[in-house]
Amino acid sequence: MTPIVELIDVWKSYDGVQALRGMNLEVRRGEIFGLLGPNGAGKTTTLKIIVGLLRMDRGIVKINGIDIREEPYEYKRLIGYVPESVSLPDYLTVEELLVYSGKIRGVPMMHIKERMDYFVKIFELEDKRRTLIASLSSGMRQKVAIVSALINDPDLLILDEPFIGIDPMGQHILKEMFGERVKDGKTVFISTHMLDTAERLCDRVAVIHRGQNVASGDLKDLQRLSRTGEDATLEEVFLRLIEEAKEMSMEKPIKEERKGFSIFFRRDAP
Amino acid sequence: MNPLKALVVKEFKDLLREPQILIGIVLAPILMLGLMGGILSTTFSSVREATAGRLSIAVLDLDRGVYSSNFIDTLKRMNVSIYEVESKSIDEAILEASSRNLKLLLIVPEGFSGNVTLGVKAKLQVYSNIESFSLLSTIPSSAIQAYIATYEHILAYSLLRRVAPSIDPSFVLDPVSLDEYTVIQGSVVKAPPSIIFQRFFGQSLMLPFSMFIVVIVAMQIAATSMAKEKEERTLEVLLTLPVKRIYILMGKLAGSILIAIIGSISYLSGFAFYLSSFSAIPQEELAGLDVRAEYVKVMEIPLQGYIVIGALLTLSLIAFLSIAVGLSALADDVRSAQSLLGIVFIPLIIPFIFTLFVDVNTLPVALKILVYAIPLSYPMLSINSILSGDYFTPIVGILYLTIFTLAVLYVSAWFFESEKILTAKIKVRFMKKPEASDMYGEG
Repeated sequence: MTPIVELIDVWKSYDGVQALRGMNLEVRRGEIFGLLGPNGAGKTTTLKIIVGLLRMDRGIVKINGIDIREEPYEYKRLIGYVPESVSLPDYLTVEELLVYSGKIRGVPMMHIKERMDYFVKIFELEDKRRTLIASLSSGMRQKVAIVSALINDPDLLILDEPFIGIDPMGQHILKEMFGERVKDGKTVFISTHMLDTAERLCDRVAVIHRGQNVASGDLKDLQRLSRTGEDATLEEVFLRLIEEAKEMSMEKPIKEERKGFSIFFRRDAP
Repeated sequence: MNPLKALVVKEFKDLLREPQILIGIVLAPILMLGLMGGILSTTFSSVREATAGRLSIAVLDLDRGVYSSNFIDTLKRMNVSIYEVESKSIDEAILEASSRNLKLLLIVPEGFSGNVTLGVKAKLQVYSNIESFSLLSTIPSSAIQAYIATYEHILAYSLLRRVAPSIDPSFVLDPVSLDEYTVIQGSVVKAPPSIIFQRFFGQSLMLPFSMFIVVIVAMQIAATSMAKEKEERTLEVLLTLPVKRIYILMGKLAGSILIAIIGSISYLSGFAFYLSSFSAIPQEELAGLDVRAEYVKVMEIPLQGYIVIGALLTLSLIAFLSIAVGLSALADDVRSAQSLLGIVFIPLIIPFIFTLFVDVNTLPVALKILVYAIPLSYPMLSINSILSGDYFTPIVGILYLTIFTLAVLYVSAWFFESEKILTAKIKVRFMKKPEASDMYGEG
């Protein structure tokens, strides 16, 4: 089956800094996929390239088999994106924002209303429908941003650090909602630092370091790849993989990496 | 719904509800100018009432002769309320008049009648009691001057009849009359140029002024909106939507233009109300002329003129707003965007000033080229051209502005399509190297 997201040897630099060094990634349909990595590893850059905010220097990104350079707008209809720091137009009401988000994605008004009613109820925003976004708390805004990204019922929901700023009840609702979407064959792609949450929530993860995919697969795969044993937690696995990646990258000169030896350290589970 | 329409509606609502814009651009002009106009209007109404009311004065007749009695009787016939003071000295008379709340004391000095009889210039004295420095306090003095001038005329008429019964006194008093005409574009208007200029200036000032306001307001709104989107990172979500970025640019421009039009209507309504509060007698009425009908024939801008000016203004707005949005997208924050905008305001101000005070054709060639190189010169200069029946300059302007606007839109669209719209971070005082975390997040 065609993966919903496929990155092949993606490179990205800015202002002399190499953010991605031949990133390879595959996200399958109907899974919750986690992108893990330390600060500066390239998680947000990867997500921003996928959603079309940044342009890669080279490589290929395919969404549902579509090369995003060939179809730079249409593929976005498949995506709902919630950035790390949520910011919404202050002087629209919650309802106005959701209607706008739907209309701009070409969703018929009937479906907008149905989905708005459904998600507003699930995220306990019913009494905030006519409230200006400016007067909402940051947690509420985060919820509104998530509902806004869901209004076109996207095949691929991408969230950068989705649990930051949301109360435990909200986090629970979010996780339940992720589960429901996966049951419907949709995909949830998150970037997070919260390894315990990722361990419980994600079907598969990718650990990235210095703009490269160090290892990807489910927990068992990563335990095997990292040789940490069957009882190792994701945190232990993550730390081992990053440690090894650091040692390896010290052995490999940067010049060599830039020449395109991008998968020298990639260990993918089958 | 068309994505462009959804973007414009969102942009319009988000901007209009922002307190800074709602208060500063929509409400403040109409409220402040309206309030100022209201105060002036009330003042002028009081003045009019005071002028229309019966004048009450105190009179100290130290002459008690034929002509002083005649003068006082004439004032009474002209419906002036006279209180004859009993005091014998001027100081006492001032106190007496003041105690009766009379603002004017008219003194007919001793010898007034004798001087008139002998043909020697007679004198009168008026003391005005001013309690505050306001417009109202000057009215009694102005009013009595008018009554005295009337009496003077009557007296001169009567004296002339007596001295030279065969001569028409009105001829001696006003032997030459003047009918003044102005020729404009070959049409003759029965009015002096000064009055024509006042009307023309009103028209030629208001149109460029309103254009100037619309463009400046729209640019500020567009720049603030764009810079705010970037500063608060709402732009990121906007750019991930499945709409072409040129639509996002157009949505911003259209939303800003709509708000600018509302702001300008508010400003001009307030301004018009403010001007209407100066509803003194028009100059042409004072001059005894009815200029309007003839003036309209030669000085009114025809419909096609308004269409040409409208086209020029629309093109200028799109071009300058694109520049404003592009510049603000380069800026790091709202404050930097507004400072960057200052650079664009300078060429905007040049044609505005020239239109108001200088005839461009009289400028040195280099300066003339500079003025004609600035796109916003054309809508401003076109007003004068259209009034003089010249449509060549406006048509050239439309062509030039169309090319300029397309070029600016192309550059803006290219900029919007590139990732520089997210990564450019100009601060006005210095260039800051972009930081990885600013542009690409922490991950």
